[in-house]
Amino acid sequence: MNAQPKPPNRMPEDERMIRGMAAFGDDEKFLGLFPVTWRYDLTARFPGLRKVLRSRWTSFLLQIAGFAFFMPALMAGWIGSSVGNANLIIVLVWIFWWSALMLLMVPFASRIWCAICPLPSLGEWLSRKTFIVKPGGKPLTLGKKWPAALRNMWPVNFVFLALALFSGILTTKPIVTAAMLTGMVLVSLGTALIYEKRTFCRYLCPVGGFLGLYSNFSTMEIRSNPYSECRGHKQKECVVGTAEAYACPWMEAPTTMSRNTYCGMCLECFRTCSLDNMSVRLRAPGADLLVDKHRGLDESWKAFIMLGAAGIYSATMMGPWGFLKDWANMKTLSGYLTYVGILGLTVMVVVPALWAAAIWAGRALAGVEMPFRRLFTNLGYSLVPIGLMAWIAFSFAILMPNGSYMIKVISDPMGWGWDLFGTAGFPWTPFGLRVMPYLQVSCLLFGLAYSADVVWKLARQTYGDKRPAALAAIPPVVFLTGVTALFTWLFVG
Amino acid sequence: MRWKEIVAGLMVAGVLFGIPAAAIAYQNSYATQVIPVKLSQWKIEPEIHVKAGTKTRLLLIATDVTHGFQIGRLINIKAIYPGHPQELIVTAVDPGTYEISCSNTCGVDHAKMLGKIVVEK
Repeated sequence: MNAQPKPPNRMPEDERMIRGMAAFGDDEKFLGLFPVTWRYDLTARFPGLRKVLRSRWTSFLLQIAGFAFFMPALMAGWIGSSVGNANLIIVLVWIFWWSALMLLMVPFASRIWCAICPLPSLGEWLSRKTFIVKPGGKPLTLGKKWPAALRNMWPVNFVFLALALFSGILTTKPIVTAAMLTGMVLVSLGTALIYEKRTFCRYLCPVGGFLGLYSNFSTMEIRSNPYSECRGHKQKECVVGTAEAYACPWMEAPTTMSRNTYCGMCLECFRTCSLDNMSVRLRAPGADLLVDKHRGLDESWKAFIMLGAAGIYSATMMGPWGFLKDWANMKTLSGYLTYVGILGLTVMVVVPALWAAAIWAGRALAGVEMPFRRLFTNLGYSLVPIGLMAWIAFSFAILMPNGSYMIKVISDPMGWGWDLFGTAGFPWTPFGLRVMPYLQVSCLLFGLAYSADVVWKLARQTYGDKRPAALAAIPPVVFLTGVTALFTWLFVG
Repeated sequence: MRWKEIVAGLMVAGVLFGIPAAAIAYQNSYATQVIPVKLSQWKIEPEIHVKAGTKTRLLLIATDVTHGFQIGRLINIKAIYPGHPQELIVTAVDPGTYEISCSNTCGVDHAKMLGKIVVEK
């Protein structure tokens, strides 16, 4: 008989307080459908799952699985065919991985990719001097702390932007993708030897930034449950580590962690917790967006960058403007510089300026004194649902016309004329193109509705009063509607 | 505990070195010649040279507009779209020189868009 009581399916009040969601009660729902405080503890429901998550082999095998795909792809990138869609690295990374990330992993499994990602593994194994078992003695790293001024999302914002400027050649030329991934492995290796823990993943990885932000919309989370057990537990093994397991490599405090943003799902907290109090829970999408803790302009700008980049990429890759594609593909220097200027200006200035105008108008309409920066930042999290949905719609347009290349390259990953599984001759076969526009528009409308609902909730949380909140939310909703109309035009117009 | 590290180390070595080594070994045993063929208004480049009896993989790349690829009456691929290269695996039997042409009307000088495939002994 299991005497341990099952945790409740609603977040208790003390947990709501500690996780920055005190403003929302059990009757609060997203879109009137998904209760904000609903949680379903998978580890309580399936006790075997906890055993799997506690095992050190689980993380290792996930990383090895990542490597098993990464190595052939990297090899194909360096020495395989120069034709993008005949090369595993382009098809695997920019069609298959990207689509899986946006369509499945981020919306439903948070940062699960970070648990699989092979890029930081070599650095982590080397600095720990082990693959599985935690050894005694000093790790092979200087263990420096990342500079305090850079402990935010600004570094990843700029790294992402720097890579985004090369998107035209990154997504078509295998050797450029291979060089980028090799560079990331080397940087992560160097970072692991100089800085503590997963500094690279948390502060430098260009993918980690948007994964972190968009995983706030995910339907899955890792949290301590029930929180009340942790409150009285002074040892805090998840923060300091144990003889057998590491302190949180992501430098979070798992007991009070309130958002998915910096949880890389490495599962160390499951291994350190002597109370077995960590859990994997299901929840309503977007629950973290309402967490009134650790909000900042760095994350707002991440949202602007991602929204703006989705628009520019859609126009470049799918729009009828061939000259844009030529600019992005560096056909001429002047064209490329124009593209760099447009992209940089759009994501760093135009989108934030339009959002600021909407916030300013909302504040004026509300007629209640409120610090502009607070309103700008808090309501900025409403850009996450529409941003993610725009990327999902974009990913449909990548996957459905080009997904069939995967069938071909799986037999001939290097583009060397192999036929491993008899599918090398599989022709380019776009699928589902008739339903694609409907899927894209449905995603955008869902994103608009969700974002509008989140704006309303965030405005209420910020003002603490319904009337000024409703007035302050009007211009941002107009902004969101404009964004949706623009994306709809780009995708199906 | 040591056995865990040994097993894990072998697995890491397997993916880091085993996969590339296996790929190169397979390629050496397979040895297929790959020839990228660029189709543009109104050229087919380069002149293709293959050895009789060996398998050759032609990567047909349209660089500007939609082209076709026809070798005499033997092979006809009617539409090769820009940005979507197609592959053609051929095993030539009889030595000689064969004419290649574009089989998709691609512009004013479409009829002049010709190339050669030379099958050597």
